[in-house]
Amino acid sequence: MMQIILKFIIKNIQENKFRSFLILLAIILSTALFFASNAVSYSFSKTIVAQMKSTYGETDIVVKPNKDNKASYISEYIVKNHPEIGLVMGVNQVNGIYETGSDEDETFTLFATDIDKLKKVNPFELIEKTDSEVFSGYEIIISSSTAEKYHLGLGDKIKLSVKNVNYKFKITGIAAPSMLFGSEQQNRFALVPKKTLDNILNTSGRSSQVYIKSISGSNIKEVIASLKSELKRYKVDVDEAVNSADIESQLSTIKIPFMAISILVLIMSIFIIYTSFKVIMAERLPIIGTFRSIGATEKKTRNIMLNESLAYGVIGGCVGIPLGIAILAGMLGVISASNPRGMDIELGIQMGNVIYSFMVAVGVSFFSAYIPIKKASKLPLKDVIFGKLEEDGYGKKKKYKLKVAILICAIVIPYIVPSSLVIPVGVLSILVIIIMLLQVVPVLLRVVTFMLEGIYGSLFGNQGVLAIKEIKGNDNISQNIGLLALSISTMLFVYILSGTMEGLITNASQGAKYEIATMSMEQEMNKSLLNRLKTVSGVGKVSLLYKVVAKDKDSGQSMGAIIGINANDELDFYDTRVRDVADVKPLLDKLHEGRNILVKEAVLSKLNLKVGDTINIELPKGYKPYKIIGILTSATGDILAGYNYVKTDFKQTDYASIRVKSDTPDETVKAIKEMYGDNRNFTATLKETVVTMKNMFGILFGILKGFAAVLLVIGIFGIINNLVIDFLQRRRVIAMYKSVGMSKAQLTNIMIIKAVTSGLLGGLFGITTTILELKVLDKIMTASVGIVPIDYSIPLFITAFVAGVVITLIGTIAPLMRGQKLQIIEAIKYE
Amino acid sequence: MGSVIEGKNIIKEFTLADIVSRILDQINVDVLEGEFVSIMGPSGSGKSTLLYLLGGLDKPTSGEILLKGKNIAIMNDEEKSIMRRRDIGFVFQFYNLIPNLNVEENILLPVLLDGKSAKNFEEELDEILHIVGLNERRKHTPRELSGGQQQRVAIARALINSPDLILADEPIGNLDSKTGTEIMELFKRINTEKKKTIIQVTHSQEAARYGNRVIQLKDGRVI
Ligand SMILES: Nc1ncnc2c1ncn2[C@@H]1O[C@H](COP(=O)(O)OP(=O)(O)O)[C@@H](O)[C@H]1O
Ligand SMILES: [Mg+2]
Repeated sequence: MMQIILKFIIKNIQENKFRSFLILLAIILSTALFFASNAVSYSFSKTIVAQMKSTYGETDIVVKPNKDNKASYISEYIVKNHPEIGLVMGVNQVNGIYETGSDEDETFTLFATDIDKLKKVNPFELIEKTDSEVFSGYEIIISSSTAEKYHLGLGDKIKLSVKNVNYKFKITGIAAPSMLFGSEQQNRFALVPKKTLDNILNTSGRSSQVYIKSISGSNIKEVIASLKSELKRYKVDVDEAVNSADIESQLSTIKIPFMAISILVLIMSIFIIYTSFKVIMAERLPIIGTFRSIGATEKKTRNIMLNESLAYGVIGGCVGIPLGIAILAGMLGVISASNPRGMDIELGIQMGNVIYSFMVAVGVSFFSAYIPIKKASKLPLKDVIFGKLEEDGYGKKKKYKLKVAILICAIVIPYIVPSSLVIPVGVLSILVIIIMLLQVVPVLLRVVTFMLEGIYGSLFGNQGVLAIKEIKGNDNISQNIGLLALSISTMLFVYILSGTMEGLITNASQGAKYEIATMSMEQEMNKSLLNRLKTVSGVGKVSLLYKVVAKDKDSGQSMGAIIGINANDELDFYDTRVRDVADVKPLLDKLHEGRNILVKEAVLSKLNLKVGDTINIELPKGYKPYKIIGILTSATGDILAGYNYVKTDFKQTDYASIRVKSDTPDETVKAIKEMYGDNRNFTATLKETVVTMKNMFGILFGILKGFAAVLLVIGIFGIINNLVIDFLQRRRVIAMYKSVGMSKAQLTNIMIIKAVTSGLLGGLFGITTTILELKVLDKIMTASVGIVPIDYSIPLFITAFVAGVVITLIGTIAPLMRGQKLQIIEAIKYE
Repeated sequence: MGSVIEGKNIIKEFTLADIVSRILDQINVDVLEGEFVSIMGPSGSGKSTLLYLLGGLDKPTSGEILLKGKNIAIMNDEEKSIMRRRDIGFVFQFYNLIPNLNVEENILLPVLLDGKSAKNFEEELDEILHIVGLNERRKHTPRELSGGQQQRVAIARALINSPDLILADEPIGNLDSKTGTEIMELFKRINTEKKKTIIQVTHSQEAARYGNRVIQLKDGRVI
């Protein structure tokens, strides 16, 4: 008997090829995107780790001077013999500029260490070398790719400028382009004798870094801990050379936006599978009834159906994951290709991710189908035989009330939680809003159709009324509106965010009158750094900034970022503007005379404040009242205050960044970078920053738009499927209409009114969802990065309506033509 | 008395898997105003097919059908639709109501499709609801009605636009005998009081007795 059911199911799948295709498409694409999003940060970290490993070789611990250490170099001999330490080697590195003769000079990383030790822990292969046995004096080893590019050979001399002094090195070796010489995307790599570089840098034999190789099998964490305590008095940092877990977790933020959209795609798949299985079960109810009535157990019938959904999941996983790898490769390709001097990001595939994504595919398919299957197989036999699948009105109403309540909670909660919780709660509430909106579409539809009935009656006459009645309570149409709303809102969300970010970047650079911004990640950003900076060639006037994130003590709300400025030179660096004030200088001066602030309009309206009000700002200890003295209209920051108050009130020892004026920005940036030496820093011209940022956001949003487009494609297929199902389910009804005298023209009109209306409603619900999402996003952004005025673009909203209508109209073409051709008797005669 | 509907030399063939089978072979029927005709015959003898041909739901392979003297073969879709709204009322075995419309709306459907205002039909609606005995069920949906009640709605719908001809395909075939009798009584009243011409398909002798003429079909011919 079970075989008969099985046969029936196989036939059923064959007959509904399009629906089976849709279910598979949804699972495959959502699995693929999920996999790719998960793998993206791993690929980045894998690449970075590989690059770092190429420098560190087998050494696994690095010691270097810390922030408190006045000296930039340490002796490698401070690391005493230790049973778990196998090798200690001091390393110095510096950049050398090679004049290529063309526009772009080449930067070499000159790397120096004890060459015998290096050969032990990080061997490199020399393709060509001179006879000289010892590596000393002004000798240099370059990679074969460098040699090729600049037509250099053994014995050639190469002139490199280190800290503005020129040195001539003689090439005595050419190495294969692997290991140490393997990652030359950013800088060319070259090996020079340690003594030589020590002389150039004047280190008296000491090193900027000491690499340590622990004995294999020893616990690195413990070795580091004991080294830390041993070396405490030398003011050094002891770290693992390459901590891949750390790197990955640092990079994991990359995947957040991709993950967010993947989750939306998953939600859509769940929705499509769930609704498809509802229809599937309704279709199979008669046969389930027949089999149950002749003795098949509830469990057995259910298991057969569940196996079917499992099969979809397994196929989805098997196809989706390879597709995900392809998508990932595409993404990484786009990212690598768009910054030619950047790194080539390698594809990183974790077995864990493969298994995880596969489980998601199977899980999504299984559980989305589980509820409708369970419902159908649990039905009392009587209901099965009479084909009753729907719940009674009362239970439904109660559920809808609960869903609406959850929806309202999700909309409101981000406004009432303390700002420390806004980010996790906000993200969760965006998801809940989307899921619940999908759930309450039928109720919303009921309300809307109720309101539209009168309007349509007067607009389109009786046909309009009939069309509205067709829409009311029609599951397929409410599902379509849900699918449209989800696709449209995701598209809008990505597009609006992308537009907002681009505007933000453009705005931020408008009004800036400096050329370079710099900050150090490792050194203290204080007076002494400022003074050193002033001596760098090309550096003109400099100006410092403090930056803190502020919170209103009374409401607990986040207010955005306070920028602490120096009124004396601020106008030289930024064209600061205040609403209705022509001469800004006296107002800026006031910032130093008391706790006065200039605040952006957006902040004021958010906190319901006006000029002249005083606000209590939360400080590390207690709070202080600040008076609002004007509305800031330029884009320096959300709030401007005098640096003296920011510094003392917020206990700031370091500047946030230093702005530099320069007539020769490009050269000056190079010079500043050289001043920092090995210390990590961010230094770039404003122009470069804007271009890089725009590029970066362009790539990011390009990929996100691609993801959103995938969602839209699944959505469109889902909509077409629903429209076909709707037609098939309503064949008899259409025949009925025709038998009482509905003409083809009337049928067409009604179907078009239905399609346009559901398209418009999809657009409307989509836009509503987007606005709700953006409101929450606004809260999240204010709490994390500062106030970002979101650019609600009207043309985009109009496009959403048009897209909704076009999609449903396209999906209606096939049913429309079949409806025209439908023979009344065919549909009526045979049950 | 004039003829309401006339079929001349109707031949109907169906082609299934290249095999042509002649279901109706040179049928001639002429139904006059006020008649209540029952088409009878064994299952599969072509009763429904004939009824649908007469109502213009299907086209004959050859032959002519004249509704009040007009050949329905030459009508376009618009004209045929108007004919179905105004001149003919259909009642089917499986009631065939629109599930998302309530009783009133179902009944008024032909009027609505005719572009008329439902308001102008309030009186007719009241009268018809009274005749079919569903005054209390106006706002119910078909799901909430019994089979007999649904068939009454279908009959009411067939009456609303005061058509001259009512075609019913086994109207009580799906109902218990008591309800069936009630429905047949209803048809009889409509025939005598409202002077409507009725053609019904039935295989029940009892139901046929409510009519005043029987057309017997066998092997595609009238006997
Ligand atoms: N659309 C069709 N295609 C093929 N054969 C049909 C079609 N409609 C009816 N028939 C055949 O015509 C014959 C008469 O059908 P029908 O008029 O429904 O019979 P009755 O109503 O007298 O039981 C049957 O054998 C049926 O199988
Ligand atoms: Mg029949």
